[in-house]
Amino acid sequence: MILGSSFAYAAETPTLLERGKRIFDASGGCGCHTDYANNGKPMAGGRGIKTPFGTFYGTNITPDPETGIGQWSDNDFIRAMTQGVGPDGQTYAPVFPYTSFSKITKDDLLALKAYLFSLPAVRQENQSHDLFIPFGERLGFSLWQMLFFNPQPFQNDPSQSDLWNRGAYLSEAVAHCGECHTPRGLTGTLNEGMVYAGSVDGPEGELAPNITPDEETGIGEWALSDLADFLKTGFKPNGDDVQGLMGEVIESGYAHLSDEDLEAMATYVMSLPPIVNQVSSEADMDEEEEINEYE
Amino acid sequence: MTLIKKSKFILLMISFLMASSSLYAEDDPKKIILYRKNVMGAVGDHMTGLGRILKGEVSYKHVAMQTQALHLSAQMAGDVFPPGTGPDAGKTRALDNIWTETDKFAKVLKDFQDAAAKLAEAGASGDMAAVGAQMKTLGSTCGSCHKAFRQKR
Repeated sequence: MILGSSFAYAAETPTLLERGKRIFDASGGCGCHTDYANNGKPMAGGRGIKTPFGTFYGTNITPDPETGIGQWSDNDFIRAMTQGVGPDGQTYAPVFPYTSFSKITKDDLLALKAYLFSLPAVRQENQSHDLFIPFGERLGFSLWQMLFFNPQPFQNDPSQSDLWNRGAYLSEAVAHCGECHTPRGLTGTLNEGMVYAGSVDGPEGELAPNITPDEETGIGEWALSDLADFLKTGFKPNGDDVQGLMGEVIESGYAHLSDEDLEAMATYVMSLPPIVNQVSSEADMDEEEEINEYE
Repeated sequence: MTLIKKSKFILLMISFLMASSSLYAEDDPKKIILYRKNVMGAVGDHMTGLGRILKGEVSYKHVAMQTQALHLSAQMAGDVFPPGTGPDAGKTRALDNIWTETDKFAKVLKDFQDAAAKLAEAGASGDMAAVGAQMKTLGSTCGSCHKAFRQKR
């Protein structure tokens, strides 16, 4: 079985570090681990991530041996990313999207680790999360995993093109689009019937739009090249810049990907089933009514 | 003229003066906000339409007209940010610093208007490559203003 990452790109990213940087960029630049708002050092953690369960603080993933992940073995890293368990056996909350990262291949994970270890080490202690979790953190997240986490490796679809499969792997496993753009149920799991159909309660309270190719409520009116261009620049087809968290992950990550990778992701996303799901905040809907009062 | 006629005349002149010196003083800020959304929405629609022509999705020979429309929209945009139409006045993504960082706002506005004027020139000339390039420049002026002065969603 040819895995999603091995074909084609071996030639494009010949060194381990280039390969690792590509995965880093495709993940959006690991921005949850940088406290941009307070000019935090890259990957040093400290960024508050608000969720319905309280505030998580992104961890230090620089190679600092005491406060970062400098002492982690390859297996520690792979286990954390694919099973959501830390080197001390602690279960992570799925706010760290190992639910998607579990599909990244082992080779790509090793490359990513090498890339992260090439970044400057920053000595910065992790901040304790500020949470309310039933049964407490350790038990709560373990229970969640037992009930809801069933990791599967990425599977190529042999009926689809190489480009599509490349896009599927990048979008599903690395860029983890669904973690924001697929709505969640009460248990915090992704609603599998609404893949990429958007959510008013997105990360950090931001609205995550419906990015299925539905013409009325999604991005069905976009051309494939519009989406690829958007992922590179943050500009939508009407010239409007996206701002917000999506603007951040584009600037920090996707913008640095190759045109082929971006075309692949766009190919995959535009092939998804269109889902009718109007995602707008109440303010948006009031606005629409007012602007179109004469229609 | 009688004294009454004179007074009425003077009163009329004063109200014209007041009306013209603060042009939109009588306008309802909520309506200005809606009008502003119409103007900025038009920019978006013309950019999208122009994009479709350049990508060959449609073959209308409207490039010159679309770029002229963008030029005119940019001129209108300059008028639609009077004081009193910020977040306190109604549902708007315009941020308060538009009216506190006035030099910076004036600069990004001017960059936008200059870029749109250049785009109209390129559109009139028929140089499609220049139009495409200048569209990108215009887009980045949109981004500069929004980043600093528009509430993210």
